Amino acid sequence: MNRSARVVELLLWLIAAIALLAAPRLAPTASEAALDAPPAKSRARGEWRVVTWNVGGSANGTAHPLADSDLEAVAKTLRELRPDLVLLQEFRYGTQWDALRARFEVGAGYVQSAADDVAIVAVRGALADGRSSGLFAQARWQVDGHEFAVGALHAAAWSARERRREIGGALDRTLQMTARAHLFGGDLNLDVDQRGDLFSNDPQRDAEVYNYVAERLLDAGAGRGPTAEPDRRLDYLFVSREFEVRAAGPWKGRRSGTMDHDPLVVDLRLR
Amino acid sequence: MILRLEFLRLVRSRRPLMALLALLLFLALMLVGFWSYAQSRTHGAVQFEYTYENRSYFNGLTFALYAFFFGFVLLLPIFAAIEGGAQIAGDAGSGTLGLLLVRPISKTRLFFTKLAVAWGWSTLLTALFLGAALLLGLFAVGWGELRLYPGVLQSSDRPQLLSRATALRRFLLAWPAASLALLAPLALSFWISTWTRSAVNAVGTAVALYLVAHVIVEVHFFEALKPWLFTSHTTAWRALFRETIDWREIAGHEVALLGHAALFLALAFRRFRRREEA
Repeated sequence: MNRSARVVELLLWLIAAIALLAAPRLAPTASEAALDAPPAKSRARGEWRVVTWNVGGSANGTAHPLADSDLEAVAKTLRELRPDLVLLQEFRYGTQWDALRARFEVGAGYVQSAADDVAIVAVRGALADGRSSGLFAQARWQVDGHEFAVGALHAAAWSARERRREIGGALDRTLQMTARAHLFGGDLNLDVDQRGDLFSNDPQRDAEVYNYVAERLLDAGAGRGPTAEPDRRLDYLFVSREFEVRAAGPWKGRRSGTMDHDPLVVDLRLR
Repeated sequence: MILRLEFLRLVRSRRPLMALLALLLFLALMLVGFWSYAQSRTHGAVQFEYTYENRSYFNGLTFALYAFFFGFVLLLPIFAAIEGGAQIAGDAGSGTLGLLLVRPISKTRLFFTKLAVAWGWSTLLTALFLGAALLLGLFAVGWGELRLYPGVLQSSDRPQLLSRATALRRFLLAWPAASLALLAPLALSFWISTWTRSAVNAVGTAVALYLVAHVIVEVHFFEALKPWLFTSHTTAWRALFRETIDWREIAGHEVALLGHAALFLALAFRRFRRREEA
């Protein structure tokens, strides 16, 4: 009797060992795939690269816009990425645009800025009908014979109620623009990847506003991991269904100084 | 014979009745919550269905899924832990275990009979709870298609749409997946139960440990601990409610749950077969 009991116990230990060893191989937990390597430099014709990046930082618990000392690092990353469209946040357009343009060739690029914080930079093509309000900028991006509506926002950092008002309004205004397809992005300051518990004063409200956007547009960076300190996904690029997302993700290791966001890089083409 | 006896003892204990009543009360409260949410958000203009994302989001299927999710996380593991505590520690404390072992029955058979009865009841309770949630949703609101958004359930990172027939099939699949998930807390309570002769202590400890493990998994700060806790896998059945099911991912979570259950059962059985009964 004791022997059979020992065999049964041994069997249980064996099942436990096999199952616990096999489980991680079946369901790997690291499903979030950031762009660890530099994104591909060459792109097929008809593909566009869009980058959204909050280039500001924080020091001693206080947020600040892009430091002049970090301008070169930002320009270097943009030179390597060779984007077609850039959405910048915490960028002091009034004093930093010329300095950035001197380091990063934007061709016939055009910028639409809002409140000296948000900028839409067309590295290729041109922007038309630019408008801005608060920390929201919008424009039509004309590139390769197409016209796309672009909205860029830097949403409120602390109040979920403010975020909801800003994001909902900004999205509606972006979608009201008639265009071949739509892009809406920036630092939305909400995190629905199970990381809202410590940072939001109303995670339910954040989830609702995220869903409001996600039902209308495709979240290009979904499942690609955090973009900001500490381990949060705050930066988004939503695109309309006319686009196919070829590659997307934050490019790690590109911060400089006290910067606290990674650039979110998205390669798109029309379906 | 021993299986029948254990089953009769379970029914006569009234624990099943108490569990069912508690779950029905929970469903009623969930229903009130859904109605009052819509009422307060729209100042009475819309009942039940309204959300910011979609003005006809909630229906009987969404209600059933939300109710089942929260009931599964908060209540069903507690009832499973109660079974574990009652089956061994409870019987040891009352002297019944010693009387049972006077009969010509091996400790192995007795242990696994108790486990079968407890898990069988947990599986049945899961089915009854799921069925009640679906029926209540049907009669209170009506079924429709199942729309899901990222957020509270954390079941998907993008909006999902399932037809009614597909959604009902997914609920059917969720039953065995969720039942297997209950085996881990049940096995944990069996293990704790073998160390005490007080059912209250066994259940209290098992529930406390489950809640601690659950909270750790939910709080982002403890990311590094997640792979070591069975609660990281208990709600994996939510992935069945995606438009495209990743079977490999679900299998991984279910195998992990089985591994944790086997580990706790091995520990429980080791202790059970070695200890002396009064």
